[in-house]
Amino acid sequence: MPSREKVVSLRDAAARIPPGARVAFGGNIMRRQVNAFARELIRQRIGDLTIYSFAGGFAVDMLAAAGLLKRYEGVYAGLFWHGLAPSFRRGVEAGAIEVRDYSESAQVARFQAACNGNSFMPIRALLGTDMAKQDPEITVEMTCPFTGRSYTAMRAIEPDFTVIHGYTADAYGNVQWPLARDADDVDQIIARGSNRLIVTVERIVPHEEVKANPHLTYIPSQWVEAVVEVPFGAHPLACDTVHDEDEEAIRAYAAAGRTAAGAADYLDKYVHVGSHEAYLDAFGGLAALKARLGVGR
Amino acid sequence: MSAATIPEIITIALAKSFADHEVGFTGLVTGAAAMLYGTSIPLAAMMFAKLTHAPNLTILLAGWSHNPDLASLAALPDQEFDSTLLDLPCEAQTVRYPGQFSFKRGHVDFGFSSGVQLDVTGSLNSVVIGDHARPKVRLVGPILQPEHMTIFRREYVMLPHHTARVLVEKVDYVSGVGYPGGLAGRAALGIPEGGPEWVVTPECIFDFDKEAGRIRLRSIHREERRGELAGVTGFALPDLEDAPATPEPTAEELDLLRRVVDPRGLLLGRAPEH
Repeated sequence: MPSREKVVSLRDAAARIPPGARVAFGGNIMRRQVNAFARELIRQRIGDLTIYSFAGGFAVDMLAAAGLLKRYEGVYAGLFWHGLAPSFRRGVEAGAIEVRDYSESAQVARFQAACNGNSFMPIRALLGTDMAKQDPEITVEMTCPFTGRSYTAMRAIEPDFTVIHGYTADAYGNVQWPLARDADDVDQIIARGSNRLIVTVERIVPHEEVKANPHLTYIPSQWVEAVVEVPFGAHPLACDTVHDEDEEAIRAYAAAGRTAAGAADYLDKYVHVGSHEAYLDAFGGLAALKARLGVGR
Repeated sequence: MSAATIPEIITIALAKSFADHEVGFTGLVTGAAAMLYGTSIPLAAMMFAKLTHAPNLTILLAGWSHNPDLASLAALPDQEFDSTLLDLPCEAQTVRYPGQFSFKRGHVDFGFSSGVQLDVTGSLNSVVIGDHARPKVRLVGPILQPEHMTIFRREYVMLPHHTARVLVEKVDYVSGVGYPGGLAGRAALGIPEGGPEWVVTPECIFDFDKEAGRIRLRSIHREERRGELAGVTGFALPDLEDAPATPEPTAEELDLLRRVVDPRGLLLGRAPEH
């Protein structure tokens, strides 16, 4: 009889992504970006990637620093308080990275179209902007058949893979979210529109813990093909309710990225170290990070 | 061990048609006979499949309870918002629309539905008997039927009564579309996939010649009823003489069904033996 277990290592999960893949990343600006997963992609030199995100930045910038990012489609790629995404900026300015810019509701419409099983969704936010004219493969102006109003048809995002960082999951891949914080959390929409979904979580928990609070299951197991335990998988960004941002580490990253050589040194020192555990060790290890940044709930 | 009942024969036949990793959707149908065919037999069949060849099958009960722990039930819920249903242990509860599943996305591989009329093309009606504007009988409405028949990958139509009024040549109103004009006709309507797979009644299982868009007899549950079938069916049965018997469950299958899947007889309505 086949098994329901879906727990794999970070290395095995990342190895599923082929070069040239189109990958949707979860997370939003400074929370729950799939940074540990992006670092593993870098260690395995999986490149030529197209990344779709909502508000992204850190993970995409690391891929850009490693020369693995071909194209980015999203609403934001920066480091919030800490400035622009330096390697991403350098790659785009050098013509090495293609970008498709869409606003928040426009990009969410693309994810929503996919998760509703539709090939496009009409929106009004982009009318008159240059975004509407950027790429006829993604946006087309259309007329409402009822009212004659103008809309932009946003093409659905159909990624090859989707990667989300979440809180807890059982071994079957039922992923739980212990919080409902704000409307900027679009990870469930991104996950629902996935074709092959990989989820990294802070902790793998017993199946009974999931069944005790089934209303907290944010991503049901039938969507998930692999689940990986990666504590501090969003570091140096926050996984809110588990740990805060590591501002010192983000500042150091931003400073290193000012030059290509600095960015490469950063990758050597923090990413090409063999494993996520070794990465955490470079910041004093998991226990020290928990003591310093843990929210303590 | 006593012989298999008709609900047990149907349950095992259904279970064997499910594949691992599929998602099956069943609503909560009310009324004793309708509940047996629309909810309980499908649940028992999915549980049996999960225990045998399809552990990754996902049961979506009432569209919102994922993989409910039905063995913990002392009585079947008889209300849609029955507290025993709301408190039923499960793996996920869909608390928003559409939340953790989206049939529109194609997340449902197969569903179970019912209706008041079903015709030779597999189209289903639960809206009106007679003309829509001045119906002879106004029924409940389409509910989720078109989604079951169009967006789910395949559909099992579960009919608790096998009569010539239910199984008709042509439905009075199409609220769930079958294969009018065959697969080509369906495609011309803009529906390249999905549609009814089986029609299950207390007498028999039908499937479809999908190319031709015509229902056909797949198997008969009880040999002694073969001679009666034409009289209770509202369309011709050209396959009547050749249709095989629906397979009898093995003793092992019956034991698993009675002892593990439905130990209290809640689902399939038989008294416990142990």
